[in-house]
Amino acid sequence: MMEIIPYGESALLVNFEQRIDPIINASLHRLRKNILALPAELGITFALPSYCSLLIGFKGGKALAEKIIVALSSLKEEQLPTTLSRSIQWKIPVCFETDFGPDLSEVCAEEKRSQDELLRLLTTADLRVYACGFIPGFAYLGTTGLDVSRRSEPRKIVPAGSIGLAGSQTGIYPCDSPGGWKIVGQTPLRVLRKERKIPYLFSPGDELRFYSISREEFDALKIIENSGKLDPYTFRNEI
Amino acid sequence: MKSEIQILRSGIYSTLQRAADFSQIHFGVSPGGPMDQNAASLANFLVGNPEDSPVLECTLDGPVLKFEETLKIAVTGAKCSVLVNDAEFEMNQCIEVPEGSILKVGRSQNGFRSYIGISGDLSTENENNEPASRGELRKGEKIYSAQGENAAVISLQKPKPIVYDQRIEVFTGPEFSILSENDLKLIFDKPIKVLSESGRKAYLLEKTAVKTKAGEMISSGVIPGTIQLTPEGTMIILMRDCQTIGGYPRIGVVTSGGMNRLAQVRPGEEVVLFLSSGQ
Repeated sequence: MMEIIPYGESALLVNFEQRIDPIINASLHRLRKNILALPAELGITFALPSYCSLLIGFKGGKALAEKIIVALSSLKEEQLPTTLSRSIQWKIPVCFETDFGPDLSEVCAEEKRSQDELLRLLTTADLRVYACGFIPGFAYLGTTGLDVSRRSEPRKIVPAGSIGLAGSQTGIYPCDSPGGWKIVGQTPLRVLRKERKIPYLFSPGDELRFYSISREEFDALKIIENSGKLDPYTFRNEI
Repeated sequence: MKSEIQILRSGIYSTLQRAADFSQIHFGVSPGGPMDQNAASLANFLVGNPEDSPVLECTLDGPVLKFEETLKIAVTGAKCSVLVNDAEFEMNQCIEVPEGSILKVGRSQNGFRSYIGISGDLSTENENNEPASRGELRKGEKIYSAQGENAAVISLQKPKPIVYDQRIEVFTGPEFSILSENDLKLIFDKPIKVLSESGRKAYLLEKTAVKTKAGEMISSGVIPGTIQLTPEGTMIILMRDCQTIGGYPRIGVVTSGGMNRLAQVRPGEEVVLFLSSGQ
C-alpha cells in the first residue's frame, strides 16, 4: 500500500499505511535504497524517511516529477515484504543507575511495574531507528509498549547519551541539550562522532538493543571512549 | 591562495551561507542555505561565481568589511546603501574593491535580508583549514575567499530579478484536505501578520480562527516551505534551517519564488497566502 502525493515544486511524498510498524518501515527503507539508486538524470536530491512515509526531493521541474512517479510505480511491484529483513543491529551498553536515569523510579510508578520488569522490557525490545530529527543525530526509537508521559517542565540540560522515554517512543540524546522526555539511563558511547565524515552513529532503519551495565563498567567504557580508543563499530552487527 | 576579509562590524545578524545541502537530512540536519536564493544567485552571478557559491547573508543591517586584497563584490536583496571607502555605489552590480578597502553595507530600507557576493570561494576556514563555523559572524572574525581554478560551470544565465511583494504562492500540502471551505477563507487571500519570533528556522503567523483535530498524524518528513497548522490555528512556515520531521498537518508548501519573497518580509509585516493555480 503506497500513495504518491505531490509536495510542492520539487518533492513527492510517498505515504505507506499510516501505522508504526517495523515491517512497514523496513519496506520503505527498501524503497528508499532503490530510489537513491535511480539514474542521475531523474535529479533525485534526497529521500527522507520517517515512520511510515518517505519524502523524495528532486531538482528540476514538473516533467521530472512525472518521470519519477513512473519510476516509483515500477519499484512499487518490488515492495512486497512480508518478513522483517534485519540489516544493522547495535548492542548498546546502558547504565540504569539513578544518577544516569533520574526518572526511572517515576516511570516505574507511572507504569505500575517493578524496576526489574521495566529493565527487562527495555533490554529485550528490538528498537528500530524510525527516524532522526529534533536535533541532528537524535534517534527516534520505537516502541516499548509503554505509555510514558513527558516531564511537565523540560530539563534545561539532558546529558549526551541519555536514554529518554516519551509515549511508547524511546530516544537517545546525541549531545547535551534541553529535553522533556523522561530519562531512564545513559550510554557511555558517543552517539555524535564529529571526527567522522558522517558524524552520526545510527541511521534510520538500524535496530538497537540495550544491555544493562554497572556504574563501574560505564566509567571504564567512558575512559576508553574519552581517550579516543573506543571503536563504536564493535557494538554493531550486520545481519 | 586565500584572501582575507576582516569583519570590522558584524551588523545585526550576518552569516555565511553555503548552498542548501540535503545530503544529511535523514540524520535530522536541516538543509540551510540563503533565505532568498534568488538574491544569493544574483550576487554570485554578478561577481562571476558559480550560482550556488557561499554568500554573506545580512539581516536588517549589514556589516563593515575590510578587504586585504582586490576582489569583486555585489550587493543584492533588500534595498540598502553600499559604501566602498565612503563612496556610494548601486546595488545589483559588480564592484571592484581595491586592496585595503572598507565596504559598509547599510540598513535595509525595504525588505529584510541583503546578500554580499564576493569573488572566489568564501569560507570561515583559514589556510590551515581550521573548522568552519556556521553560526553568526562576529566583529574581529575573518572570512576567506579562495581564489583560483573553479571547476564548477559558471551559470551564464542571469537570474531574473523577482518582484518583492507580500503575496506568497502556495501549493496544497499532503494534509490540505483537513481544511473546510470556511477554513480556506480564514487562511488564504487575506493579510496575516508575521510574528516577531520568526527567523531562519520558521516563520510564525498570527493565530487564525481555524480549529482542527489534534494528534491524528504520525510524524513525517518536512522540508523548507512546508506550512504546518497547529490544532489552535497557528500556521508555521518552515524556513531553511527547519527541523526535518514534524507531526503537525502540512496544509501547504510555499513555491520557491514565495520562499524568496518570504525571506524579505520583516517580522511584524503581513503576508497574503494564495493557492497556486498550477499544481
